[in-house]
Amino acid sequence: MLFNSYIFLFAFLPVAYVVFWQLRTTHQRHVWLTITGYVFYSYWDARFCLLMAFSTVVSYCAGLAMLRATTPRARKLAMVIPITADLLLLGFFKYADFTLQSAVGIAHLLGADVNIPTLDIILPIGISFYTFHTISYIVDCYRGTIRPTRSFWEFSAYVSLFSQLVAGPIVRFRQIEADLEGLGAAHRTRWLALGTSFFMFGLIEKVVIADSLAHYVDEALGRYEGLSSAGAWTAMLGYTFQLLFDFSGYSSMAVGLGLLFGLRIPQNFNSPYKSLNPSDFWQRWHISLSSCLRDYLYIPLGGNRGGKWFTYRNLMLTMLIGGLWHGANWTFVVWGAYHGALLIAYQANREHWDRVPPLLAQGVMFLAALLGWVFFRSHTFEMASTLLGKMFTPTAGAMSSDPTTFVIFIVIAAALSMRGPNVFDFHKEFKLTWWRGAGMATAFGVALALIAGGRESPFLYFQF
Amino acid sequence: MPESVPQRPSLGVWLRRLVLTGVAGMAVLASAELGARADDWLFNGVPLLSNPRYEDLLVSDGRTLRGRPHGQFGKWRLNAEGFRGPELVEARPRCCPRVVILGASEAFGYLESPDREFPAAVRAELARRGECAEIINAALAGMTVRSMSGYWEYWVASFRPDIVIIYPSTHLYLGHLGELPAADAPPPQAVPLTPIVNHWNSRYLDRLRNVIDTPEFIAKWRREKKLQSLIAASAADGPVFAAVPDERLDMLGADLSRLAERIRHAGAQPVIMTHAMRAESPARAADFADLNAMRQFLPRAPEPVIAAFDAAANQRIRELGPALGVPVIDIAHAVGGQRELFGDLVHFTDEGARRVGTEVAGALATINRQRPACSQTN
Repeated sequence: MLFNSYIFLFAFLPVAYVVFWQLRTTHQRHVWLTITGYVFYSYWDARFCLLMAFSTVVSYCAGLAMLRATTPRARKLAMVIPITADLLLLGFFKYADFTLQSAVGIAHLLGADVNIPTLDIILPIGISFYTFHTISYIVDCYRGTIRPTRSFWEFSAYVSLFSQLVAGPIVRFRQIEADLEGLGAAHRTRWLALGTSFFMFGLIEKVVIADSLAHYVDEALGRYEGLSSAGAWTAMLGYTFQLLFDFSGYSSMAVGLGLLFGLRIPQNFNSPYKSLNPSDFWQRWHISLSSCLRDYLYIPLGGNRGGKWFTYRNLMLTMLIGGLWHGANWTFVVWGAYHGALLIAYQANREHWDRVPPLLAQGVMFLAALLGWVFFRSHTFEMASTLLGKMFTPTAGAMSSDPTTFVIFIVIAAALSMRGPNVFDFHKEFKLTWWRGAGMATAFGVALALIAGGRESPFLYFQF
Repeated sequence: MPESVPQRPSLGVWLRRLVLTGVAGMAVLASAELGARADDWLFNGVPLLSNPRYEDLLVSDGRTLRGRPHGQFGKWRLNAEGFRGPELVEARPRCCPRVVILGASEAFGYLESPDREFPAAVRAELARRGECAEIINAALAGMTVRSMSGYWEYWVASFRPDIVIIYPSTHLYLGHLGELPAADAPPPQAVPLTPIVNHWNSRYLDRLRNVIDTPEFIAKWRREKKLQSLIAASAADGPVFAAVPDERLDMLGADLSRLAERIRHAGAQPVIMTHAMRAESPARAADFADLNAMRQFLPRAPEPVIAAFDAAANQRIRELGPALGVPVIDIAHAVGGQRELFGDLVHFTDEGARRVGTEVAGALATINRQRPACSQTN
């Protein structure tokens, strides 16, 4: 089920909302959030609810085990065993086919005639996200950052929270724990207008901006071999903004939905194309993921505590794994390595880089991000190299259909994302006024028309 | 301190809420209508104030039904001559034939994305092969081979094509067929094209109808009810077909022969395609839902008869081709029964249209090379 669908807007959400606020106790509301999460998830494929339930039970039990553990060894086991189980599940569903295909490819390179059939495993939607949720919970319990919850329903409501279930943001338990525990005393109208406004902004980001760009981007990249240099550049520029508004739109909707149910979900995008350097970029892009990678990977690897080369190694490893987390394809690994290299280059030349005028630095960083998206968007290296070749060698060929309108959309998206305020900026000191209400009604109407016209498209990050 | 009991809102407060909700609802609907119109304008070039309908794509000139010049509805756009596709090319190199494709909605394009219908796929495939040809998609939804005769005579022939490919919707011969004009009847007179009447309708509500799914059990019940009334209404035409009606096959054969003869008489090379369906004959269990959905157009034909008639009609076409000296492109053999290539019983998906386009382009290249005009050039 998509947030930008009639079934969600007019059936699922009203029922979930009304029943939730009719319930009185924290416990009841936890149970209801769990039920809605599973209904939401099962709309895609009910079989995989079992997988999520398994991951939830294992992680919850790990928390309890840590509460009862009397020795460090027992605590460590209570961390390692469930994390191993979670990672094995993720590894099987997401990376088994990829591993097999890669092994066959390497064998062929070495001249061996190996033929292993692929398993054609269906990737359970959102598995990367809820696995991250459960792992972060277990690690935080182990570190003592949070006290494991004794309430199974509280924990299951956290894991299966429909607003952030399938594509994040990766909310850590500690970020939402206070709101979850205080749900029984939450006030329905406290964040109603704010949540609705966030949701409407997200809907517009997704349906109006991202999907309009997608119309041209998909058409152009569907026949990338025939694109001209200008066609390749506009297609990749379009994709650069499409990806931002698609995912940022989803995140804004998640924040809005959270507020409607009395939960504050943190900001996930902070105008990333205003970044002045790679480090800045990763503090603004998919903040929940990059902070998780920092806290659960980079710092445990040693962070910057072991000298220059040790730091570089850790940066590269973190970004490689971050790339692979996005998808089981070598193009994602290369994308991760590319960003690792950018971060290393920045670390090595920080003094020079920081002296570059801000406007130029922003332009350079934007260009660097755009080039990275070529690998991110390409299904194969052949596609990536063809696109890059066209972008940097003058090539005759086709543009996208209706290039004028496409460029107008790109300019609007660029102005909003590189100069304008982001959704959180808009909501600082939020107060419902008549013009905000009118704006929301208008936005909702326009979004409904576009959704009915075929914009009921999945979010790009669902594939991860 | 005891908790204060929340007071019930007064009537005035309720009324105010009601009015606000009404105003907000009206604002949502108004902006949805504006949004739908702006979206159509931006992505399909539909003027903001027009209210196009599918029927506006067709126009009668008093002699035949044809495409409206520059007609547009949704993804369907017609050129200056009322054909789907690019504008006609006046000057073509020698041995670069003008190819017209006659057919119904399967050829006009129904479920495919824009520019993915099979005539467009033929165009793309020929371009990929480096073969020169101008492909005109002259198909119109609902056109039988019988109605193609007048269409050819009074409109399409005037464009002097070199090759005419007929994609006959054979199953339509199980439905109601118009009468053939009497041989001694005077030719009909041309009249000015009827202008589009701009009836206001909500484009948002039109869109809404496409996204709201009726539950299957209700849809099935309504289909059955409609079918029964259609069967009753068609009783005057005759009883329900118990088997493949031979007289209908004969009609198809005669109409095809007549059309091919007229095309040849006009100096063009006719080519006939067999008709591809998602269903096989005998029908598989999976085919029944599609065949059943088709019955609303062919109420006298039970599901197995529809499948069997199509197979028999294709066999008739295979025999008719050599008898008339007309090449036959056997699409039914190439793609028929491959469920994934069809969106419903007869309409192709993008991939289905691509496959058909590839087959037709291959055959067309061979036919073109054998044409006398090309042989002389070579």
